[in-house]
Amino acid sequence: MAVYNSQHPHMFLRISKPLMLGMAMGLLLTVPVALGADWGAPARSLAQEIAAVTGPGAVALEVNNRSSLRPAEVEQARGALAAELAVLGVKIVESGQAVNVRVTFSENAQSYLWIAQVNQGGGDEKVLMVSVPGARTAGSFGPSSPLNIHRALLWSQQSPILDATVLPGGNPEHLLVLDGEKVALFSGEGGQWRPEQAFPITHARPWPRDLRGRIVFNREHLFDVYLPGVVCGAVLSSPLSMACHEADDPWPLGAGSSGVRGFFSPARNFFTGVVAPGIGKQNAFAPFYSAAALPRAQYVLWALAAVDGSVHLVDGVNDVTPRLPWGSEIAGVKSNCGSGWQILASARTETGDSLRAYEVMDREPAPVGIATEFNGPLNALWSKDDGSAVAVERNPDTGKYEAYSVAVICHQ
Amino acid sequence: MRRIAWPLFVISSILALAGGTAAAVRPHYGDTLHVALREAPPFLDPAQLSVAQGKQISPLIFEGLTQFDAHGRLQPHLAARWESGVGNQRWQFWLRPGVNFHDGTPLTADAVAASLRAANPAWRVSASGDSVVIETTAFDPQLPAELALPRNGIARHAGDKLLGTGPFQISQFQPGRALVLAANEDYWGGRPFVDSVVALLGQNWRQQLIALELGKADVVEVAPEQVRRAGLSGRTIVESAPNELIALAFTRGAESAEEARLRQALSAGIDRASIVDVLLQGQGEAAEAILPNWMTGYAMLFAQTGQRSGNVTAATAGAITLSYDASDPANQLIAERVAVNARDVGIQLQTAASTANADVRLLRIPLASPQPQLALQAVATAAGLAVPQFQGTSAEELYAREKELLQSGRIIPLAHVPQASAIGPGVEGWRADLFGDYRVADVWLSGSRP
Repeated sequence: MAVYNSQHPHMFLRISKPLMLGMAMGLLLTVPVALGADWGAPARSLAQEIAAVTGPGAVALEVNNRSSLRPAEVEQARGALAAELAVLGVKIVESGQAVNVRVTFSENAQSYLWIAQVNQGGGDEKVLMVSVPGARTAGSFGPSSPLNIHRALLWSQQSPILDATVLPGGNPEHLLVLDGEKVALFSGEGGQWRPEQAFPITHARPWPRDLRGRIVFNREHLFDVYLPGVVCGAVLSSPLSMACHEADDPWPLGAGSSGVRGFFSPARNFFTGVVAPGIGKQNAFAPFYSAAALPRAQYVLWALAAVDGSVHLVDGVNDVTPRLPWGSEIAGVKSNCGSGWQILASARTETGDSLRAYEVMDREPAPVGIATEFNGPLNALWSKDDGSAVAVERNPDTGKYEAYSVAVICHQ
Repeated sequence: MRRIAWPLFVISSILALAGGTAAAVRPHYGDTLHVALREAPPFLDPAQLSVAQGKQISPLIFEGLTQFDAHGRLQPHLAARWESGVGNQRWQFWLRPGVNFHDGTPLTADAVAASLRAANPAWRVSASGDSVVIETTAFDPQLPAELALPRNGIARHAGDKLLGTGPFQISQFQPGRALVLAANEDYWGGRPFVDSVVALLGQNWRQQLIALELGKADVVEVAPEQVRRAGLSGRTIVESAPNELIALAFTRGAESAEEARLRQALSAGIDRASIVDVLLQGQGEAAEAILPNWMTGYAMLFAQTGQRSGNVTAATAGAITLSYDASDPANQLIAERVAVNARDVGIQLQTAASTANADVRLLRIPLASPQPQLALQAVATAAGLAVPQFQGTSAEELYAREKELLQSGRIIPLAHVPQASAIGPGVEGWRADLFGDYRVADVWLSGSRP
């Protein structure tokens, strides 16, 4: 019987109220993504099929690799196969024997394929095959420089991640991951994030393409979620729950839940340009994709990445549009370097996207440090309460979405 | 030249993206995408399509219960889940909630059942609550994959209108000439970025390249032998994994052992590497298997077991007529190369354009589906061979059926070629797709304004 069921995780956890308290910046955990290969099961299957043809005795085994397995993996797989054959009484000897077994490690679009061609002489060749599910992963981190952009992998998954945030305080730490279907809650345990609860997101209208959304920590009720035309909030019940409703409430533009908010188009992928309260005397700008706040002593300077590709630097009185090679994603981050606040801005590279930090002096953004490169396109970049940002990349090697905590760190 | 192609060996780990998909600059909404296609359908109703038709256009309008993703993996689409009974003869598919036809009426199990019955008279299809039950007369383990074929796209007739649930709806259709599609504002998967798509139909390779050159088309198909030249002109070229088989198909089975030996000699004597390297300008791979290795993983077994038969005597080899479709200049060159190779092994083979009295035909057969069993069945149908039936989805059974087809002596594979498209400037988000499907809903134009 064949069955296909979409995955809908519904898990529950009791969250204690003290978890909400405290604004201490949490250490960011890195989830190990490397998967260990276990060739035992396929080796056993293929060995059984071979032994069923040859019976116990001596065979000459030849192994070819026509797959993306690395040499070390081929050796492991060969060893596993030889061990399983030995268990079944099949002894591997040098070539020249009557029974020749040629094993090819191949692959197709769906899986690895192990093929055994058993030749017992007389031109009668038996072909045996075993499909082996395969998975590959990849990861990389940027180089060091006087002003580093440091990133740490928070979480990766197959469905698009819209935002992620580590909740401040609490022991163990907790991570929230937002995608188009749910907010998933994880707890840190032994260096890994373990899933604890999932809050489904309800919405009446279809999501727009290039869906965007963000999670914002809330001191009162833990967190809020903003999506196009929908706002959700955690409900402090036992167990913890989340309530969503159709609303065009403006989204926080900066790091926290307070401050300037922008109205987001419910059927598109950008902010309409209307902000509340205004930035100084201004409350309407050109539509923009993202915004970054740079607090100054007397005011806050805002950078807006407009939909038409321009960048606006606004302070409530002036609106300056410098020519900058910035992409759609910008975010303000706090550091101990330079003026204390930098803007992270995305840019396109040959192979993916990069993030670079900029200092803004006299409304003239200047790059500081070197860019950190991602393998694929950046789909989200949001400022966080602790002064860091979260960037989401789609890894072209794995096809997975990866959420990184990104921080600007001064040269030590 | 920017060129995005599927590597032939590490298929499953790579999804190359063209045009900086969603890179740095977020997608813009608006504008019209112009595409040119060789396909010239006289109708749009999916139920009238053959297994291999409608690949690029139909899924934009009509969606199946299932769909293959860009990696060639079967995914739920209009169906949220499914299960089969013992023997894979009874399947039940539960519909995705919240899906509407283009006129706003909800997608119902009755509408799905009616659409599938029209396309598959041999199936017994019935609605059951929010699910559809499909019963077949024989084992059909490939049924979920079959439902992803364009011909099984769900359509509803409303007066003189043909409605689907896809990201685009029909705005204008001039059969065989042009099709204009408008964005479905309420598409369940999110409104497409572009407002409309204009498809010029029935355009040959040359017309398409000219249209791209003149800025009249944003996306065009490129002949395999033109890919190198098109790439050198600085265009972005997007290639699929090899998804078309070039093969010789005999119109009848061998009637004697001598004739069978002659066909083996012909197969062994063809210089496939030259056909690929020279005539197809390196686009594709020489093939002795019907299905490409990325699909099966075992294609090398057929190459390894190939036996050279040596020359056959002129007396043994009577004159063979090879016909080809002259609408594609490359076909004539391949046919002539086969004739030269045949002479080298003592076989008289003459070529003729589109003759009805041929002994063997040069065919270019689209592989129809990333599902190898369906692809093999489609090849058999196109080549006039007995269509293989499957009890399951195992690699061993697939290999056995493919081997039987090859041993019938009625088909000689020559090459597998990828599908290539040239992408004009300003087109963003065009994905390299394993099977070459056009996923237009994700495409946007960089000059657009909200």
